[in-house]
Amino acid sequence: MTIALAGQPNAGKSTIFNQIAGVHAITANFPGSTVKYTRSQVRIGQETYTCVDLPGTYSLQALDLAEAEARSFLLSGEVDVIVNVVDASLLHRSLEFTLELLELGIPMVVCLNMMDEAARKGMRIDTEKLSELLGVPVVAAVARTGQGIRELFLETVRVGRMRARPSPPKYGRDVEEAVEAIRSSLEDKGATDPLPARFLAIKLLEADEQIGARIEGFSDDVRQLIARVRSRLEAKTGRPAEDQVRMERHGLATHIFEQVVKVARPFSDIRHKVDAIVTHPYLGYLVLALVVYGVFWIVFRAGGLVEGSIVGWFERLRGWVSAASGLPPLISTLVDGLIQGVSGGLGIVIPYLIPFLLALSLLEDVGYLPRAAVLMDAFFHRLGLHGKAIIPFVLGYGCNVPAVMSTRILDTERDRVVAAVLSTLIPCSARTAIVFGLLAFFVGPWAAVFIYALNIVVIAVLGRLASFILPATSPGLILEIPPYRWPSWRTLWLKSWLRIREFLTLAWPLLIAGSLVLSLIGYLRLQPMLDRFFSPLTELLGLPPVVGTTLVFGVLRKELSLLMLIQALGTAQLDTVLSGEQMLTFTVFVVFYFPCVSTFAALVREVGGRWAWLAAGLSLGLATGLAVAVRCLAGIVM
Amino acid sequence: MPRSIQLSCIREAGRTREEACTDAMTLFQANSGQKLSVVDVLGGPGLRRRLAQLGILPGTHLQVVRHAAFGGPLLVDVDGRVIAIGKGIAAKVLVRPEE
Ligand SMILES: Nc1nc2c(ncn2[C@@H]2O[C@H](COP(=O)(O)OP(=O)(O)OP(=O)(O)O)[C@@H](O)[C@H]2O)c(=O)[nH]1
Ligand SMILES: [Mg+2]
Repeated sequence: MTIALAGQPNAGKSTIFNQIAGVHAITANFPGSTVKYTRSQVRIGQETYTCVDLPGTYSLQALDLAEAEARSFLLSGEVDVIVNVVDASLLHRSLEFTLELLELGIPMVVCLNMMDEAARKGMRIDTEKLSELLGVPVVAAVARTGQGIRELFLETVRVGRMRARPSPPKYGRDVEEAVEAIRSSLEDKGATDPLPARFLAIKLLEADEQIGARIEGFSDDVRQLIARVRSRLEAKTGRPAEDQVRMERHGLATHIFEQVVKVARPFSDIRHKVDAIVTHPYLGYLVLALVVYGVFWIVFRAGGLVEGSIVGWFERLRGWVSAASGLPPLISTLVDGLIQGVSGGLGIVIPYLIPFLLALSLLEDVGYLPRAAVLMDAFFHRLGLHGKAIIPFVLGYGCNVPAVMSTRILDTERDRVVAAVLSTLIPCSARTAIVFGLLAFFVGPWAAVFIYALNIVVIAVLGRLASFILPATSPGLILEIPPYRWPSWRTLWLKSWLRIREFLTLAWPLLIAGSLVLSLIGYLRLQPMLDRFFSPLTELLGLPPVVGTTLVFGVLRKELSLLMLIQALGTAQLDTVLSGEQMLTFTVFVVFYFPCVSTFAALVREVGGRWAWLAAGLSLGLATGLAVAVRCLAGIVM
Repeated sequence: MPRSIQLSCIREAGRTREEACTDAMTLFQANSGQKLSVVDVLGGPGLRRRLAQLGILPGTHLQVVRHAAFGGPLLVDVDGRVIAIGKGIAAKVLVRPEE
């Protein structure tokens, strides 16, 4: 039996999924945090079932790729029972989608999630009455604490077993006549579509293109009949047929809402007062600046503290090892490589990665991103994008892979391509570790600020150029702004842990292996050969020849570049072997050149190989050009 | 679903489309805090659908919460849900103050 979690964006589907499936689908407080479905086997009682977490969708008329994914899964015939997750505090708005789902004729349970939020708003919801009006079971829940989740799934399994098909909602007389006329003609023609004929008829009235395509094979008289029925309905009601259907569905939702909800007291919420400042036309930018500064400061302080002590400690350890006489040279080289690999990960990457990822998840879960999108919308317009595109860009600071994936929530192909390609230039947390671990630590925080500022300017210029080459077509911003939510520390930690674990299990072993390989290369005296190969680049950038090899490692994972640098130069006290100017040039190059392999793969998947290669070439050229420019300028200034 | 919730047409009694449009303005022109009802959404079917999905369609009620600076978007409250709408789009939504 397949259970699908469907509902409007940000209703808590992924939170419920995580509760039941025990896996970690990403959750966040903005609409569109899930863009691909996740499937998992779950045990309920004695049996195992398939549970699917779908991207949120406002209606069955999919208007972006994430919504299209949800829709096609719901229409695939694979779903045995739907769990319609509803944000109880937004019941009025959400019921329209619930009514639309009922038309599918698939067994269904409504989960009234976020009952805590609804209570805070002073809403009292009569779940029994709601269940009676909708004709399907309704279970109240608070997914964050797990309250009601067990009951929800027991009920879901029961409904799924009974194969209880819900009866679809009824519209006003004019619409019903039109639906009936289309339905019966579809049935007369012996339609073999697995979807209910009534559902098809309603969608045809709503001018749904994809359903329209499904009946393409039908004879002309069916299509003529549909056109006739639509124009008759339009003549009667004085508005387009699709508007009429939607308005009636909306009216029906209002009617149900009014019968089941009592608002106990008009609510005054301090969150509104907070929001008045955070999204204030001018103060909002001050808050934005403070937030950015705060994240920067925490990462710099917390990371620097740890880096200083750990790296010093490991340097002493290396001193002892090399002083220990009697070890064969091969062994002592390898041990040295091993220590450097371990210390680099522990001392330089992790101290910055942890506070940075935590801070980013905090912003996501509190609900700051959509507010930032509102503030930045006007500026993003100048780049031919709109404020929604800030979501891929901010996610990019964590990791470019989810950033590229999240472009699915954008409205047009053109926006997706531009945002995906540009978001790979955002310094991800791996690059942040380099910026902080190398530049901020040895040269000073202003050097790090310079890198981020340069990065933003470059992206802005490229965006502007892109809007000349590929003119913007996106109509403008339409984005739901969810309420602030108190983050759950567990979720914050789990989300950051996913990325940290990836570093620990994937990048760190790679790093230690790379470190050993470099030791071996040094031992076998192969280094000069490699250096000669990279010399055109290293000479151009004014870097020591041994740095060349380290850049190759950065293609695998960006943080490897820094750690290999330590290995290649033979010390973590990098300021003794590199000048500030060289560190700056190196960082600029590493921040801009080629996205790592995982990002490249994500680009190929999301926007195609052609754009991925273009992005790779562009970033390589950009990195070289900028690094040379910075080198020349730094030579003058520093 | 019981038949008792049969729905009558929401068409406004006594007003034709033209009459309804006389005291209308665009959402962009509306003041913050004013209670409004939607008269019509101008623009292509894609935009109409996107807005309808979020509950902005003829006959529904909304309220402007705040205008952003620098030609940024408006925040609009639709049945308790806050939606940011770019000014270009707000200029295509016809509204009328509620009595
Ligand atoms: N107060 C409260 N917050 C909740 C509850 N359930 C989920 N949340 C929060 O609501 C936000 C959205 O949750 P998600 O699970 O990501 O929502 P979703 O439906 O998967 O969203 P999309 O994938 O964007 O469609 C997160 O910040 C959750 O922590 C709840 O019962 N009460
Ligand atoms: Mg989700």
